[in-house]
Amino acid sequence: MKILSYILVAFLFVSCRPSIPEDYAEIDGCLEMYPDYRGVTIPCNIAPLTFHIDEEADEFVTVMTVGEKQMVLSGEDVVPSLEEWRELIADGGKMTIDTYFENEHGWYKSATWEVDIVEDEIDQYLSYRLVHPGYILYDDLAIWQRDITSWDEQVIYDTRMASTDEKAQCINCHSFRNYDGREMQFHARAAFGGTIIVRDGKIDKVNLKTDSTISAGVYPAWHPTENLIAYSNNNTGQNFHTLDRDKVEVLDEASDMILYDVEKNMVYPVCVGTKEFECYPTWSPDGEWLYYSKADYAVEATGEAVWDELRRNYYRFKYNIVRRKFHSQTRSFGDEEMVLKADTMTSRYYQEAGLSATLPRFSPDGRYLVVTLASFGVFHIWHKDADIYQIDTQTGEGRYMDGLNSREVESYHSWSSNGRWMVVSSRREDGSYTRPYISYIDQDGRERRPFVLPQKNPLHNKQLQRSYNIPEFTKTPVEVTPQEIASRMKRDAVQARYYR
Amino acid sequence: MKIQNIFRYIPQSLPWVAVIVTGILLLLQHTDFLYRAQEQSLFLPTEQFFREAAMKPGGMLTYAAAFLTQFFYYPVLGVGILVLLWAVSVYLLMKGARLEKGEAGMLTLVPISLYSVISQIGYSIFYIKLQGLLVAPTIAVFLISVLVYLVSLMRGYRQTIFIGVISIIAYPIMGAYGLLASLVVALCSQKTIINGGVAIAVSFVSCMIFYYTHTTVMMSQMIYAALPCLYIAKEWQAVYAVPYIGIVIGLLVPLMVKKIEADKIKVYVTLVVSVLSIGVLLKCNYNNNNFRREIQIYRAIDEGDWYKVLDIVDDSKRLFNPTRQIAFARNIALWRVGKLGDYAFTYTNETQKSRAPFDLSLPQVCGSQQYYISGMPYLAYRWAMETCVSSGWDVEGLKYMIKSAITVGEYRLALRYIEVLKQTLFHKDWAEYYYELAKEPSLIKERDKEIMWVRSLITYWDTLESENGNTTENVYDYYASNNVNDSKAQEFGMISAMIKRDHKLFWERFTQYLTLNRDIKDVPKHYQEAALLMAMLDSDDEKLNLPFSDTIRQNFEMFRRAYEQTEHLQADQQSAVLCSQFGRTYYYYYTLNRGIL
Repeated sequence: MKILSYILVAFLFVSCRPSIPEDYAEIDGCLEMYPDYRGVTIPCNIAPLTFHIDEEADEFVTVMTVGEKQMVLSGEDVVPSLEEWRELIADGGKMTIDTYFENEHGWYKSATWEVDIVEDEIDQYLSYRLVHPGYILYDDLAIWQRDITSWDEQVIYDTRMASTDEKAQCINCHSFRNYDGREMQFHARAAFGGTIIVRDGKIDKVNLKTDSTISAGVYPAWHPTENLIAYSNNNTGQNFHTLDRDKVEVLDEASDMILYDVEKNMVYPVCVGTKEFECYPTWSPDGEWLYYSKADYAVEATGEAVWDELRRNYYRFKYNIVRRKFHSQTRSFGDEEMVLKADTMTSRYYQEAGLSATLPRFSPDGRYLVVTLASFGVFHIWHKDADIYQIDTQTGEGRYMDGLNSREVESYHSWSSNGRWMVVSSRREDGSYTRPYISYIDQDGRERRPFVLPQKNPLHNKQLQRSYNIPEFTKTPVEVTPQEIASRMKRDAVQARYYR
Repeated sequence: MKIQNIFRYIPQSLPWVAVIVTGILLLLQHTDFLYRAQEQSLFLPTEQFFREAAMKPGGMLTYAAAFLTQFFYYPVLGVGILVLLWAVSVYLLMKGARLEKGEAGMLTLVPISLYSVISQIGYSIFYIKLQGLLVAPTIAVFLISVLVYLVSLMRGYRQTIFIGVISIIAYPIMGAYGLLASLVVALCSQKTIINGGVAIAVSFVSCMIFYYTHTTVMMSQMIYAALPCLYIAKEWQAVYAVPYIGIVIGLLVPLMVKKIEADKIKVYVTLVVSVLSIGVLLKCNYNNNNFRREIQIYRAIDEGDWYKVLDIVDDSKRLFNPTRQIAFARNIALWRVGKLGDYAFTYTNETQKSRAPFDLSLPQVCGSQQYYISGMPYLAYRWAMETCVSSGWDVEGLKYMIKSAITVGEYRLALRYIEVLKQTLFHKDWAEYYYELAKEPSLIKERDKEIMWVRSLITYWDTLESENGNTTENVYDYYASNNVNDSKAQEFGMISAMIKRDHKLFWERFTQYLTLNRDIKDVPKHYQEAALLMAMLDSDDEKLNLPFSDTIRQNFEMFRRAYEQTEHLQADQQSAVLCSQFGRTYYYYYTLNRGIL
């Protein structure tokens, strides 16, 4: 009796699995799908690629094949199970995908499309902030970490844990040291403001604003080997176009750079001055050089007129990439050296000279320096002409990474720890909502067609009215709980000292 | 008459009367507002929407409330659902708590408080970020009444177990109302003290479990989950808490009094509650004509019915003092129907502040619409997004994001929001219409005059603004300062300069207007009045000799004499004296109007 019931269950199980139609007609072209994963390259440990077939039909059968292994799924939402998917892609190779659909005329098969699976694994975690693509007002901000080998997504911290009715909290600029989720920092502003630094399971809260700096630390860069974090200080304001698709222009009224010694709780000046704007520090992988964006502009107005001047001249802010040698013993820096003189480059979209380079980030092996280039300004996520640009430090050659650029914004990029993957913030879908696109970077630094971060619900990116902000890979998860962070958040910050 | 007799004669039908009366009041006074309320809300049958709701304490309650709020699209239908829920709630509470005769009268406060949540809310609906704000208390009370009824069917330890289970699940589902539910159910039970202790202890555990498994609430805020935040425009607006207090009293008092033997006390409590009910009904009723007009005007503009806008502002024979929002909408409507120059100042322009217990921000209330109809779709989009972020995503914001995106050619972005609206119950057709335009932009020219009108106004250069949030002032400033080649934009520029009383800008706009309208035979009345007045004030003989019509000159001369004759009067008196003869001229506005822009 028992055996019979097992047989019955097995029979039912097998009979519920869709079967591949045998009698069908072939059509040219693929069916419309969302997201479009045709021709992408994926790692062998990524979560399943799910997609929605955007066509009218009575039934769909999708067959995913890698070598001898095959998976058959039914329905307009193609959502492979985690276990079967892992089994399917574990050894890499080429995946072919065939979709069959049935209407009143019978079964049809669309053109086969392919996905390359490489054996280079990707870091398991991706952290990001989910934020409305809004303007001044904000609400309900959270930093998340997603296990990109599965569907698991956890909150690192949510501002609702410290926002009050009178004062909401903003958080931003999370970053990690050496792809380790156990060493993390991010800023909180407004309610319970301060910089949260997590190391070795301990949570500190620091006030990086001193009477000698123009603001607290903003954009961070952890030193790869020492307990140091370089920050820019920025007095930032948002401004709004009355007639421009870019919609928003974020301007700095002033910006400088500091170095924060985490052990000593000491702030050191790096760049201080009123005629230059410095931003977006990053370290070379060996920790010997500090790279950053810098624009030369001397503000002539004073007082309330400063912002009027900035708004009239916003298009004149062109940032170059420069670097300075770091002397670890003395915590000092050498003279500035030009790395990329973007302000003499020519835009490939507009009839004007001069570009602006921001967000310099090194590949882990130090070979490639990747920046975001646009016509002007410092906050390229709002510039539709922003593209990713790569400099080969061995040859000195630079090129646009057009394998992952689009006609919309590509900005904020980060490398995986093995240097084989890059995640880019892209607004290619609709020009407004940022989604993380991941591209394979081969040994020659060449990018392959990127894929959007897979989601269990194929329509997730259409339903989510938030943007993915600051995507960062980590190999290990953040281990402190949101409640622990909130508890520390609500206590006073330790005041950082300024080195004199 | 003995106390007992009085108690016997107090109608136990009072709660039913309250349900009917409040239902009728909703239909008579609040249908326009209810329609706008559903535009200020959004429900989507998507996984993401559900997930975001479920993450918060009380999220399921607000999810259900957002679902029901949709039905205010047809106000009669929405009100019918509300009244039905109130009636069933009263019935179940009576049955479950075994409230007899006069005891039942104490439930009157419940439907009245639920009604007052809606009737009182006024402008704060544009600020409070809570899904299903108007309906959540009704659903909560309904669920509580069901629980009360269910617990009445049980006895002994089963009641305790039931209360324990309710106390665990009620908070995540209903938030603060869940805590109330646990208490109410415990009060209805046989062993009140024991079950009350169980309810409190288990509710506490439930809260803690929720806090440590979720990240969507502060510890100190947990008790307020699913209640509206009454910190509005940087101040606590305690007055809006009254209906919620009424709900708590209306639920707890009858159950507590039920346990008292003495009829005399019950009588007194019933009387107090009845008086309280009347007080809440009268006090928590926001009934302001300008607010009502604004709501109606907003819808008329959305529907492109400019003559209806003028009908609304005309309904009191132009005697009321409008708010800025009304005056602005009226000017735009006159502009759209080509009567701006002859009628703009025939209306009262003595604007007054909107009657709200806090400082109102126009962008929060209607900024995106105002900017859109003024030919500024980028700013319209911006404010639609800002209000969606600050007060919650809603139909209204989505509509203006769609219209703005299509107007400026961002069709993919428009399609994104259209796909969202297509999933709503009552806005599919609206979304379908714009879907076709976004998919096939060549259809816009023949099908949508509104978009074409707005596009034709986009004649200005791009500038970068910090934009302080005073929409009407910004629009007037913008038009007054820009010289453009579009005749109608120039006309609005002239009116803007006239409203601002800026001579220099007026003459610039007026000159350009005449250049663009060389063949015009009769310059509209108000423009002549403005030119004549400003020429006189500037002592500009050349401009004084412009070919003004004789009627204008004569009328101006009469005004000038009358003004001089009444200069010795107080401003209010002078204004009143001159109003009847000159109240429909620009001169009157320029010299005697003290309203805000």
